[in-house]
Amino acid sequence: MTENKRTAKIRILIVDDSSLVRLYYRDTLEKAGIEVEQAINGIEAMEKVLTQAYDLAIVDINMPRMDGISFVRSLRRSSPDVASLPALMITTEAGQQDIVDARTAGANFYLVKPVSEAELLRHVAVLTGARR
Amino acid sequence: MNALREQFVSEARELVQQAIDDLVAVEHEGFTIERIDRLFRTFHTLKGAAGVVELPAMSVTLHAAEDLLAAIHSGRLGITSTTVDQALACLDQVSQWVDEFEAHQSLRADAGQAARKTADRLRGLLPEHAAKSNRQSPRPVTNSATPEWALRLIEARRAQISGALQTTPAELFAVSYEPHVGCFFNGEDPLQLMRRIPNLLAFYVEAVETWPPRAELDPYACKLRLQALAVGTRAEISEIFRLVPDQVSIVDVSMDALRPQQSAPGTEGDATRLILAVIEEQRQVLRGSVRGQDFVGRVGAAARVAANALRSGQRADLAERIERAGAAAISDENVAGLASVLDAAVESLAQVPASIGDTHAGAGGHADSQAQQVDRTASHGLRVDESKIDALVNLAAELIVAKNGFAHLAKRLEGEIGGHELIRAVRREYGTIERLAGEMHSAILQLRMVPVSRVFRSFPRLVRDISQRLGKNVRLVTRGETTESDKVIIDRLFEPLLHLVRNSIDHGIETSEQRKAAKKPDAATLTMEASRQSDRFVVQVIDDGRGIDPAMIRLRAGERGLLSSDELAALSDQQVTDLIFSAGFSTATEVSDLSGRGVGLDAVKTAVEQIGGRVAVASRLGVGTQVRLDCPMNIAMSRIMVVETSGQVFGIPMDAVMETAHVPLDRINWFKSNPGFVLRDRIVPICSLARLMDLPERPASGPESRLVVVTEAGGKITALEVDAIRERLEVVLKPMQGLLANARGYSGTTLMGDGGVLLVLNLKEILP
Repeated sequence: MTENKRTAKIRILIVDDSSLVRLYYRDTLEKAGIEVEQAINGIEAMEKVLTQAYDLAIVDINMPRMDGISFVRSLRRSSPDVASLPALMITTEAGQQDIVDARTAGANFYLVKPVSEAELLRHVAVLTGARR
Repeated sequence: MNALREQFVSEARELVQQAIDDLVAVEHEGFTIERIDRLFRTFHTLKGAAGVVELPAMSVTLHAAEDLLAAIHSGRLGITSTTVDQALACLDQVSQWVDEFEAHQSLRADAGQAARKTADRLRGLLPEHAAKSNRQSPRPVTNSATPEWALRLIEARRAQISGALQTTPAELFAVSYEPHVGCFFNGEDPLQLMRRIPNLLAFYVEAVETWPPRAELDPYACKLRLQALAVGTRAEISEIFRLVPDQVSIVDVSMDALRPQQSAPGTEGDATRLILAVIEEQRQVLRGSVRGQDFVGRVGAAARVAANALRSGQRADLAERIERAGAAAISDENVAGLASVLDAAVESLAQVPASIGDTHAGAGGHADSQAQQVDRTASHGLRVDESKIDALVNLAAELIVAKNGFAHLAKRLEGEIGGHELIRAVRREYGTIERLAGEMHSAILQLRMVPVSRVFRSFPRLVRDISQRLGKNVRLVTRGETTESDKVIIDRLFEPLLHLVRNSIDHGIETSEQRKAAKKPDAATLTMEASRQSDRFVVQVIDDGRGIDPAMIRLRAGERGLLSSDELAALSDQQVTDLIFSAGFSTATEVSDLSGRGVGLDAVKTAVEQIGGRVAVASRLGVGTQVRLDCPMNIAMSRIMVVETSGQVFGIPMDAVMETAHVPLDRINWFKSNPGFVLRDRIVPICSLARLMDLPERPASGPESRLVVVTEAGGKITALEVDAIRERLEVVLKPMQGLLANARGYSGTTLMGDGGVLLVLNLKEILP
């Protein structure tokens, strides 16, 4: 399974309530040849991960309806094939408590806003195991 | 403008509007944590958006607004109309910038200044201690303890420093010395002290504060900060400054700081650091993993991420070990083994940084497939240029006209070959095409349907500002915001609605004292309500103010010479009330800056009638006033009735047609010298359409009765006598063009099925 994944295109789910931020991430990632899907909150993200396979979820913490931390918490409690989706959380400088909470929920890594294109790609490469 | 910028503009506008709505709601309905949360989030998202398109001025302003909301959230600051005013002013500024950005892709040069001003005003509202702690902008995060000023010095002298360090294996120190203001009088010589530093690599002098005007400058006060980089030992340097230890700080410069800045992307060291940091984080995740519902997910994800990180660092061997250990941890429900494999991996990675390959550049290969990238993500609606939709609307309209030609053809066939099977087939096909064309047309018009909230949403803010300025207490209630109508109609309703709302607050709603005296609740209620009533789109503006006093109107109309006193006497109170929509009428006894600008409510009437609507007012003295705007759902199609008189055909808008009737001659009475008849207790005058159109009148249409179309236009009911009534059509009305452009009496033309042009009457203009 892992072998397949490495040869196929990387698929990433962006979960952010701001369409602008989603567009920014999507542009950046698509330019690097990554497939991108989007969800506007945790609820929509859950629906997506339950029906489709991704290599990584990039998750904003602060969202209406279902926030990023609750999303990760429910993700980790899903069925085994879904539950181990790596989660990269996007936090703010002031979000130290968020990081603690997200870690407790089972998130895997953090990026502090504002996120530059280079930084995003660097993190995505490391978290998905991508190489040329 | 690229997609990102476009998206920014539309999103920013939406966010600004939402923030305005919430601010007004907070002020009116009070403080709730959820509301403040949402406001905070809205401002925060806006700030983030400004960062993405690089508008620092906007970020600065919004940052200050965020501070303000944080203070409100934590209860350090109460919500007053001043705080709301300032927050609204900030949003005004932001939306002005958004406009500017849309037009010029950048902000004016003085935007920074304006931003600081707005930010200062916002911060001025903060309690003092909060103001202080927030005034400092967040410090940039550096990758070591080296202070910013030292990094600046290093940056300036990088070449010399690395040269010096190669020859002198010693430590690097940064020194910042801020002499006492009166140091000259103590016999100190700051510059001399600095010169005693051995191996001075960089030296920098700056003013502690901005210089005052020269006339106020005190040359004996030392207001300098002296900074240096030097190679040596701490003891050596401390010795030099031993008399002024409180004024100097000596900092070890870690060798990290000498490396090129991180922003120069992706050195090998960076990549390894990130990989190590990611693996370390996974150890943290594992540490918190106990057997529970989320065990499989947490451990699985952590192992997967750690393995991926190693794989990105070309360490597939370690990655596989971790994957195996991860699988074992899940089946054994024990993470100890996985943790030790992670530890081993970290150790191995830290020792051989040279084996780390180039990872930063490609997350999954090059953009060779970029061309194939399909925008599969635009699932939240499609943005289509309005002109494209308008083109589609016109095409569909043409199709409907073409379809009418079909009906004409069928009729001709019938005339020529009688009730043939072929005609029935043609009729059937015609029916199908008619239905499809109609459905298509309405489906296309649906594209232009927008909810009335598009105009309603500006009103909470407007009502707040207007009522505040007039010192009145008004509560705005909006209903039916989701009611949809054609965009053209909705947009054109803004001005008239604004006019009505201003008028209500200014003239209709009483002052607090007056309301108290009238035993009404202190806060007046202004209701804006939209609804769909069969095929009409109705918007009402209702207030519970003093109502319209017909006696006042009579007086005023007399004064203005609008009508003679006889004419006024003949009018009912309702008819008198309707006069407020007449040109040149204004009841305000004093001209206020809001509604008494010489533009009366007749402007409302004109604007609404231009989109095929009608205005009606109902009022009860002391109770309130209700103005009703009754508009068509869309302005593309008009329903008309075709009538014939003296051999000519005309269209009469169905909107104006109340009914048709054969009036027996014996029921026609003569009032003075005009014919008329009684229809349900009303005297309806009869006008001959032929005479109105200056056509030769034929003898009466029938021996026993006259055929009339009872119409209503401009509040007057008239029976138009015609020779024949033909079909009813749904047509696209084209405005009068060319030679006919100045012809009065017509509201437009339409193409008939047989290719002829049908003139559609404007009854208001032709009726006496």
